[in-house]
Amino acid sequence: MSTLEWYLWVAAALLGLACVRLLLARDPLVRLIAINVAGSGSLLVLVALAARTDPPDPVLHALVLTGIVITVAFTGVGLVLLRRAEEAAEAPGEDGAAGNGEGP
Amino acid sequence: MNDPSALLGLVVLGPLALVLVTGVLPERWLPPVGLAGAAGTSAAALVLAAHVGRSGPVGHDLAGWGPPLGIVLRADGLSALFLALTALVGAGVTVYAASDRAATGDHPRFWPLWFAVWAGLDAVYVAGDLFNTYVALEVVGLAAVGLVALGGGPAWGPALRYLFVAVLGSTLLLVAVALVYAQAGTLELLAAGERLASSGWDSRWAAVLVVVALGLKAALVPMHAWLPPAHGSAPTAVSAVLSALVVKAAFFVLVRMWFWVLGPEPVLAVVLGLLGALAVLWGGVLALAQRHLKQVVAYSTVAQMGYLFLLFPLTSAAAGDPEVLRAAWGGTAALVVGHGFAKASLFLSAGTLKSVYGTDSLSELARVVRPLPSVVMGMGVAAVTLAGLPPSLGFAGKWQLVVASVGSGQWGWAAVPIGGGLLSAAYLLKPLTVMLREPQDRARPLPESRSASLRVRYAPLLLALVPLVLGLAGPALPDLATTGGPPGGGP
Amino acid sequence: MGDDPVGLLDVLLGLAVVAGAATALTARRRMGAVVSFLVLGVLLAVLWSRLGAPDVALAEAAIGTGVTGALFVDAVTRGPPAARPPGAVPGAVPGAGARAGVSGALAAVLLGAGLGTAFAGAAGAGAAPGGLTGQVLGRMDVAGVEHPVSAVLLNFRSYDTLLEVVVLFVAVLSVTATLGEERPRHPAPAARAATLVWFCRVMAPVLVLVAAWVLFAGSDRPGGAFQSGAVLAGALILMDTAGLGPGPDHGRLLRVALVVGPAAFLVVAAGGLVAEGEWLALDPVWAGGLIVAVETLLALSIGVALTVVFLALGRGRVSPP
Repeated sequence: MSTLEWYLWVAAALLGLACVRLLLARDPLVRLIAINVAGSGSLLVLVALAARTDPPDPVLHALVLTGIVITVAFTGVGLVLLRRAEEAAEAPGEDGAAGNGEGP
Repeated sequence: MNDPSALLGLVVLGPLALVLVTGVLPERWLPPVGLAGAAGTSAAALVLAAHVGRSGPVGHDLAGWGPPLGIVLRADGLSALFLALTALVGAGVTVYAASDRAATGDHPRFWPLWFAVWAGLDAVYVAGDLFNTYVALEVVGLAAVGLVALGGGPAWGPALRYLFVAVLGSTLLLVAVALVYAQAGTLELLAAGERLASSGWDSRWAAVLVVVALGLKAALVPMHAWLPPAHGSAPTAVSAVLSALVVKAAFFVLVRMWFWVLGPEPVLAVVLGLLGALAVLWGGVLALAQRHLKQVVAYSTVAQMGYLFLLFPLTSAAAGDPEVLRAAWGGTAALVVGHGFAKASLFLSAGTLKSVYGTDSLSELARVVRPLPSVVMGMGVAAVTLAGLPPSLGFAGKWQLVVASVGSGQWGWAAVPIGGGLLSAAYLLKPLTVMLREPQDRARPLPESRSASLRVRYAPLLLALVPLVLGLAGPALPDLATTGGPPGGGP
Repeated sequence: MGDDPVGLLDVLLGLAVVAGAATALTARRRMGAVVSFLVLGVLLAVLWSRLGAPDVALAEAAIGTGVTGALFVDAVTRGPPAARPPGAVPGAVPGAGARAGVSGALAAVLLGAGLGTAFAGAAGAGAAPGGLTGQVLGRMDVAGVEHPVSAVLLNFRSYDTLLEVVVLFVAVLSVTATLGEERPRHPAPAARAATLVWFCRVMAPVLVLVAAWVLFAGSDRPGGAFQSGAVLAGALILMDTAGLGPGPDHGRLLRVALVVGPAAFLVVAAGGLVAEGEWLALDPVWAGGLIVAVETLLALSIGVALTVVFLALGRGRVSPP
């Protein structure tokens, strides 16, 4: 198979692994890692497609940069939410959260 | 402004500027600045929508570079519809939020995050570029997650779950966009659609990716489990925005991709219709079983979104019959608008009750019709739209869908709006009867109440009345929705 | 490169990446997962370089592995070491964990196979191989910068970049919205603190210089605002770890730094409308200068934004509320 095809299959493997772990894992941290791996998989598709031309397609590279920044933004928010939830669980009663504890 | 195409940028960049401004202002300035900003943004969006309605689609080349090199903004009838909906519902929710701090989670961060959502929504509606759509959806998604988290401790878990769903959906959408670019060589929506159509590419896989991606974000059954906890634990104004507007944005993108870019997929269309029907049934049944008002309303969103997915099988079986197409598009447009107003109104009503009585548990809200008749009336009027009773838009929409399904020979789909209407009536009547009930001897007394301002009491009612008034307006909505309609798909 | 048969190097690289991802996603303990994730990041940077994407490699190293890695490590060292391992649920059926693992693996294989087929089909016969490369390279003379990727980011598709900066800003808004009460930081033993402080005093200015270099390199070679911002964030995070970071007095300063980047971008956008009739339009005469100005302010805002996200993770309170 060609180089391009090989890397597309690698990307598919990354995406498949990551999506399954995102859905099935119970630890939110692993799910956040899965988000990053899935993102890398999708970016690999773009970079592999960009490599079809010489020099590589700069538009796709720009899109990939955008994707990386967006992923880090989501990861940051996810990690902070995770830490808050864990801190609240560690210290029940000490946490002054605004919720009134009703509803699911 | 002589050139209305500049409005295309203004409806996005205006709210973005407001994000920056409300992010740094001291807290006491936020409600008035927020109100002024909302007024300006709504005005710009409505002017743009009116222009599109009169003169057809409008385009704007950003940075002076035309396609395929640059990014293009474009507003057609569908965009105008959603822009107007967002403008009016957004204005209503902003008025409510400015009057009641509890509705914003009592947190100043509500304002910049809300304007970020608004900017992102408008960016989705006027996007003429595939990757741009992806980025705009991410803006909406992350800002929505942040808004949900304003609900405090109980909201963090649901917010995190919403984050995972949003990112999974976006990643799959990005992959689909990459596939389309690989085939079409351009990121511009219209051009990509034309090239795909002429090249005869089998776009099935991309379509499946797009359906899964956007179905996740629109809470299409069976991918709906994240919605009720998130919408239920968020602050009032946030729930209203999420159910009325944010889930619709995902539906909007699905429609765009389906009709303008990827082309019809008959089998997938039937699957979508079946899932929609399942959503109406399943969401309705679950709504009946809920004991808290906000949860009833949240499950109702899952159910009501189901009707929208009937658009796909109805148009795919229409075989170009203009009457059927017009009815299908018109019905969906009416339901989108009607649901948007009614759902926002319901969440605001639930919020008023919660803020006045400190609870939204159904068993404790008996007899609130006495002290808060405007709120209960608002709920009743919203229920009229959601259950599809005349003369509301809900009725007009369902009626059109029935006409479309009969006209295209697929009688089965007609059962969905009809049966769903009965279910909606049931799960909405249940809390209403509780609130209207006369006091019993051994009834519990109402919990201690705070007073609610005039705006807080009447805003939900006003929002709920809009679909009733619009329902009397006749064919204006279907005409708007099909302006600049999809290639081969519209009259 | 697209049509050459795949070479050994590529096969090994691809397999290594998949192995790294699998390790990161199936590790038992959180720390193991995070370490594997960092290794994966390095492998990905190599991969991007191999595929002719040095900007992406730089961004992956600085942002994807650097900042994200720092966030993960910080989250793991402050949180519980491992989530409750699957199968430790009382009353669980023995072997249920293994069965779930097998079905998960099966699902992953099926999904991967489906996606792979889709990708191969899309990139196969009838595909348009040129993409937009020719278009971009043909317009470089009026772009204002010499590096094609920077031209795309800040001129041709600047709207995407603007929205991306908004996403980052929204992240800052969200994380600073969830701040609760002040949490005590882990006290550092005195000896470690001295070495760390010394190291920071040496490294932080170096990092700031590197950030500036990366920023200005972006006009004619790989680099740019995002990579530069990430390096700047690295410097600020390092300073904070040594106890030299932003304090309560710096709240105003941080807020201004956060806002200048997006604000400058919006000003240029409006200027484009007024001067050229289109939002974000750049007059070719001014394009170079405007791009440099906007990029510099963006790098500052991005660096501060990433730092604030990191700080919000670690502390209960960050100075600019």
